Amino acid sequence: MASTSREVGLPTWVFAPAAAGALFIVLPLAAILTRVEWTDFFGLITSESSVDALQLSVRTSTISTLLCVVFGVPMAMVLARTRFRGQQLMRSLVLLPLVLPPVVGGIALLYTFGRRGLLGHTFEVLGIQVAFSTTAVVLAQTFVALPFLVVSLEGALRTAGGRYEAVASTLGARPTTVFRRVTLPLVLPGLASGAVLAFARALGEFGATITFAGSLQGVTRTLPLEIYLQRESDADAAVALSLLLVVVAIVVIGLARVRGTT
Amino acid sequence: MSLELSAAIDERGFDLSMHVGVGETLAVLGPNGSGKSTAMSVIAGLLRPDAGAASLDGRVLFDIGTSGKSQVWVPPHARGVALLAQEPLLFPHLSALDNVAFGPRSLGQARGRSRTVADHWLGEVDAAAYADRKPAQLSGGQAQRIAVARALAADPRLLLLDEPMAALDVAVAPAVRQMLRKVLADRSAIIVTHDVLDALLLADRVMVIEEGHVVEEGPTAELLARPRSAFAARIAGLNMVRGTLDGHGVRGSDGSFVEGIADQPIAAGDPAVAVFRPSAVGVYRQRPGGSPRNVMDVTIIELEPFGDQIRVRTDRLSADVTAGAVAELDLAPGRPAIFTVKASEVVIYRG
Repeated sequence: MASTSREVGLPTWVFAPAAAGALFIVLPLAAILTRVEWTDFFGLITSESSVDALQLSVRTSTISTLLCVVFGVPMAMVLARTRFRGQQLMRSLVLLPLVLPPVVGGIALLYTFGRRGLLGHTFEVLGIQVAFSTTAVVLAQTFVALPFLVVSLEGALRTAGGRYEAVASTLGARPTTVFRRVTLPLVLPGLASGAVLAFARALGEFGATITFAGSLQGVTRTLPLEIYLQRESDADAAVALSLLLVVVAIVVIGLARVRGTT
Repeated sequence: MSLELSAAIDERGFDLSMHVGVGETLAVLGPNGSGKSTAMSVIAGLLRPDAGAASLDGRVLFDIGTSGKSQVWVPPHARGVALLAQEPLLFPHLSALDNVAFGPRSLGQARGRSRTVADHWLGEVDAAAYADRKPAQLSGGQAQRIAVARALAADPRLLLLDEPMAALDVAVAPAVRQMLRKVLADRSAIIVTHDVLDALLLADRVMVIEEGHVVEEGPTAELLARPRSAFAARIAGLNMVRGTLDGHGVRGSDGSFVEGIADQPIAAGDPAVAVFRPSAVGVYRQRPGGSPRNVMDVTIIELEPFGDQIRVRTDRLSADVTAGAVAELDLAPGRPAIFTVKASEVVIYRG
């Protein structure tokens, strides 16, 4: 390690708990590796139900991430660049899904978009059945992932500050031009890492999905649900799929790191 | 008249009027926190005053609470007012050329035409060689030149410069000042500054702001020769006593009295100002006898080099003495001293 470049030494006692904490995170990942049936690995992750689950997960997480960007960017802009009564309360409410147990989120969504929910009747009249459909999976994932994007983007906006935007406006740029040519390029790294975090959160979503969308193969059974189900009947398949999710997560973090440093 | 402004912001105690003629450069001077930058933000449209009105070349910029009419507020991008701040604030993701082309592009010109305009202005500020560089690859002086080009390329009706040299190295400031002198000629502009050189070299007229109010304004040369505010006297490098005329001298509000020569008729009791150069001041430790002159008790606050002299700053006035005199008189901060100045060295005029 680059101990020579350290200006001020750390107290020696921090290293033991730091190592223990790191071990606590790495060890379970290693445990998965020891349990993988390598001879049958490829077969297990390419079974029909696994492929269905993987495809569904990638598809819904991608759409959820797009929805997070479409709604989250304006939300972050309003929170970071305006001042209004009750803004602090609004910010806390928006961030609520971060700390809410996902199963509670699922129940809340059910009583909003479900058949007998707040908006359920409206959707029924329109001929749309939301609960227990792929749409419900996307809604559940967007619900839990949106705060991740809003938080990182609002932070990036605050760090960038409004001074470049002020200069741009005095040069004759309309608000939309300022957003497109100044604000967005300045916060792009923050937006990218926020989107990656949102994607990762959507990919791992379990509690809200199973509560609100159920577990129907090819329709609502995403990878985490498939793993949970397989654990009962076929532990080897569950382990193989878990490893797959771990790999996807590592790739996602790697992408975020590369984006963040360039 | 190019700009007409009057604006008030209650919670900052800000209430002033200013005007800028067509092609005129106005220097706004004042201590920190006096409201100079506030005035610039109001004109640029980045800060909304509680009341007031402004127009630029006959177009209304804002009109708030001055009459029964509905309020008018033109947003910054539609004002034709470009603002140059202390820091260049070049957009970090754009090359120097694209930074300068930003204004023309925003005003709806095609990319090619915008770049031609940008090339022209980069040439005007002697920065054509840096066209392809990103802001991170530019020095402070280069970046500020390009920021000037960017502001001018937007073809503003009024250019606001908010202490444009304050963040620059002393070594590069003169060249940037020279460049500004060239581009500001015949252009309506307001420059906020701390530096008397900016006022002398760049401005036609000077305005001094203190605590949100205009305390003095006039042609640069006249204001520096006959300052009426303490701030203007300080930047002009003059000692000043403000008060009322009493016989052949000025009686200060603190009771001090300076005798001098009035160069215009002033009635006794009228506001008057007495000024004299620090180099005309004699410094003693004991009260000198002999010839009739003004004698003032002061307490030394600091000593600092000033050209080949030492400037002795006190609680009220300043004096320039040689280093030898400082040693001989054993002058030091905190010590009392006696300042004297001949009445013939003191000029008195209306306050």
